[in-house]
Amino acid sequence: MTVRSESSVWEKRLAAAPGNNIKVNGERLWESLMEMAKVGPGVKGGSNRLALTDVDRQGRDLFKSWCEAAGCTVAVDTIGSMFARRPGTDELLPPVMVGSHLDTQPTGGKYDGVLGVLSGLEIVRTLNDLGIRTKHPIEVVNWTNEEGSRFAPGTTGSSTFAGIHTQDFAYGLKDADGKTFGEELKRIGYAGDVPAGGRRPKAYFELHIEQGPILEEEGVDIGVVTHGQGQRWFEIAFTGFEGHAGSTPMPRRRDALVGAAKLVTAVNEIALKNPPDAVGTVGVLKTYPGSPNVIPGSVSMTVEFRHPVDTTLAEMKEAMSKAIETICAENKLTAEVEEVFYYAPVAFDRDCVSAVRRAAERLGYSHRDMVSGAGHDACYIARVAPTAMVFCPCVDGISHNEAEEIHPEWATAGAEVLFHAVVETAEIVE
Amino acid sequence: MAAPASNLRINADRLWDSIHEIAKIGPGVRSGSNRQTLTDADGEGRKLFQRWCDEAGLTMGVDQMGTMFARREGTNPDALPVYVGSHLDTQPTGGRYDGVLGVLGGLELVRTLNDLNVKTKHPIVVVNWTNEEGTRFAPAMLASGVFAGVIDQDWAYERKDAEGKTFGDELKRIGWRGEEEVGARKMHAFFELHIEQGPILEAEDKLIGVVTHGQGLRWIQCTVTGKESHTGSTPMKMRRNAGRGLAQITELVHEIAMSKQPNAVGAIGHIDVYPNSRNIIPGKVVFTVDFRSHVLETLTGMVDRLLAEAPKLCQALGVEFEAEIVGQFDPPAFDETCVKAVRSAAERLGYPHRDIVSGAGHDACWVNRVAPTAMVMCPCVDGLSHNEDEDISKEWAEAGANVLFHAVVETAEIVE
Repeated sequence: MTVRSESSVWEKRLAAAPGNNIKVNGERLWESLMEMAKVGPGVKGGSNRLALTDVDRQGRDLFKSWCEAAGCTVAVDTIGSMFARRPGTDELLPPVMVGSHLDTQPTGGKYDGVLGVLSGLEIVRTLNDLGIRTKHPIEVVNWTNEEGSRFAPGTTGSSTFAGIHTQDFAYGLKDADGKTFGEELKRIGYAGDVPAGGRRPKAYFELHIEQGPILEEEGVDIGVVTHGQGQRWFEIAFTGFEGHAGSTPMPRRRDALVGAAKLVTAVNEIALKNPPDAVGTVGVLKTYPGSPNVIPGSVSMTVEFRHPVDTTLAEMKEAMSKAIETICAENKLTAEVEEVFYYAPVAFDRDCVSAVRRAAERLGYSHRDMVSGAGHDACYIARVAPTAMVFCPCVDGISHNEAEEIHPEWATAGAEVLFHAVVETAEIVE
Repeated sequence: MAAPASNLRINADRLWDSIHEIAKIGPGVRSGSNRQTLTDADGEGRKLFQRWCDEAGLTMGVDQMGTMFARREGTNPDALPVYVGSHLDTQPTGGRYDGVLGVLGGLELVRTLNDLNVKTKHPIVVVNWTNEEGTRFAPAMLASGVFAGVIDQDWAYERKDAEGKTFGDELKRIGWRGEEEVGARKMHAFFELHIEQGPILEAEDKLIGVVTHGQGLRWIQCTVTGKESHTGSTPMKMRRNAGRGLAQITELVHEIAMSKQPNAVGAIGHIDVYPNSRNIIPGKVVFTVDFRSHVLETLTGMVDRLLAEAPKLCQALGVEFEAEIVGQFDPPAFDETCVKAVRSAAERLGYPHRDIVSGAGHDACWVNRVAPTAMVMCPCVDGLSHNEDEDISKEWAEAGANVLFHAVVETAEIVE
């Protein structure tokens, strides 16, 4: 990356930023969200638009028709990710990308991903309404298979674009029926011919619902996402000795659940020692043999830590190892620990993050910096392009659930901040 | 004197041979036994036991629950019989001694009386209780429960195995449904020899456990409810994690039991975490607390403390606590005279012994409700039972059977 002085960038950006009176059309955005939700409706008011199903095709077709109606050209890459391009005044310059994903969980909400894509479209529509041109082209992106429910793991479109995975890897993914990603992508007619990745956008912005409770709880309109959490996942098995719950005296017991219980508490303490961003959870606990009158001979469990700073994440792992050692010694247990997943923290681009923060200020929205707890397409794109994310609140932090809900004014605020950050970065041509 | 002289001993070789002969029927896969109740193998085991009883000159009675009663006459036809026995059914991956030792120990004492031509005033009846294990047809100790009047016979007949076959049908199928009314027999006393199924006797180098009490039991099913949420995007301070409730209550249960040593035990063996997914904070946990003590006040005290403290722990965590007592059994105290007969037999024979509480349930715990009852325990290796690796030494079996012999024969009163 070229080193630039902050002040020169600042001045340039201010010159190219849209005026604070420029607003998106919140009603049109909301209508589009509701229209898209009619494709692959869920059973309880949400959405069921799994990747590469017929309804995913219908959703893509609808999005494509909207983009074309807005004057965009739609290109599709070999992974099926869609890029709807609004030309810039200088077509040789790299585009500013903005988007998210249109696929959903099988019992998903109407906003997870969809808000980010359709807000990107709303930016284009608003620019058209106002007759504003930008120097850089703007591309609205729909990344393929972010959710990963049908073809695990998710973020297939964005991770392949970022060069993490190959096309062969993506095409080989299978769903529960044994159908492959490659076959299904062709079947729905979205195996494009544009090579996935290999180009570097000027920047990438993604608006997403928070999927957590912080913004709503604090009454804040906008989350300026500075980092994506790093993650370490562990599988742990404590082994003691299975015995009759009646005839084994207490001092002779080696109860694996007593050890596991202490680790649940320790994991919580380790996370609390690294406020405010650390989280630590034991999500899975199973006792063997799992009979009410048998002392658990072994317990298997999962531990998951997340933190935005890699060294802190490593310290948390170290603290857990020490806790396990102590627990085993004090309770006459043995433990096996396997780290099954590591995902390095993502620090979003300073300039892009500033653009988001400035946009929120310019528009008078309350905002706070935050860390994204969940993984997003933006976390992968951040590896190949300057990237930032905008969060808006969601009711009770509920997501991946048909009950997922947001208010229209939250969507509008998020889309406006996105608009200002994207258009400032794409540089308005006066 | 009605007690046998201290030089009278059972024939340990014969007992040991019989144990290993019956173990050939329904063998396990790793040298143990798989003779589940009312299977063909159970039928064969019963036939062998009947043949042995016939050869020993005993008269067999079978009741409507299939329990076998093999009687050796006493000199006084009006005297109530002394009963001795246990069960021949096993766990699917059970050992060779659990139950079998008690039945064949009873048979051995009759054989010894025959060898020595000793007569007793009271008849002696060797019993094989049907379905003690309860693995195929829950609950355990089914026939002795019906005998003691705590379980309804029709209900017992309706119990189903995993394939949907009923207890009543299977009992008929193997041909062991007798005519005799269950529980009609009156007992002078009942004695049961059993392996300890725990580690105490072996650890303390005792040959005999004089069982004074059975443990009482309380099962408390607890439900902790919090809120399912995303592990990545829910800050620590905004969580309502039901898993932490489980964790703190597990430690509380352990602590409560440890505070009542040596008279109590407590554990949580069964847990269900919902949704049990690595990246979702547990929204609900259901688990069963198992408390046992042979002292009733200790038992109820432990339950009271759990029910007082668990809600407070949960409240501090922002989760809800609900509890329901789903199983309970007050501690049986065995008959003083019978217990004394066991203790003095051990002393007469010079075996190191100690009073002990039975941690597990046994047929004797039900029979104790309708007849003076006591139990004898012998050690088992590492306390291991309900496992094909269950093991005892021939000397331990011999000591147990000798004490059983002396206690039973003293109670049945030798006729000089």
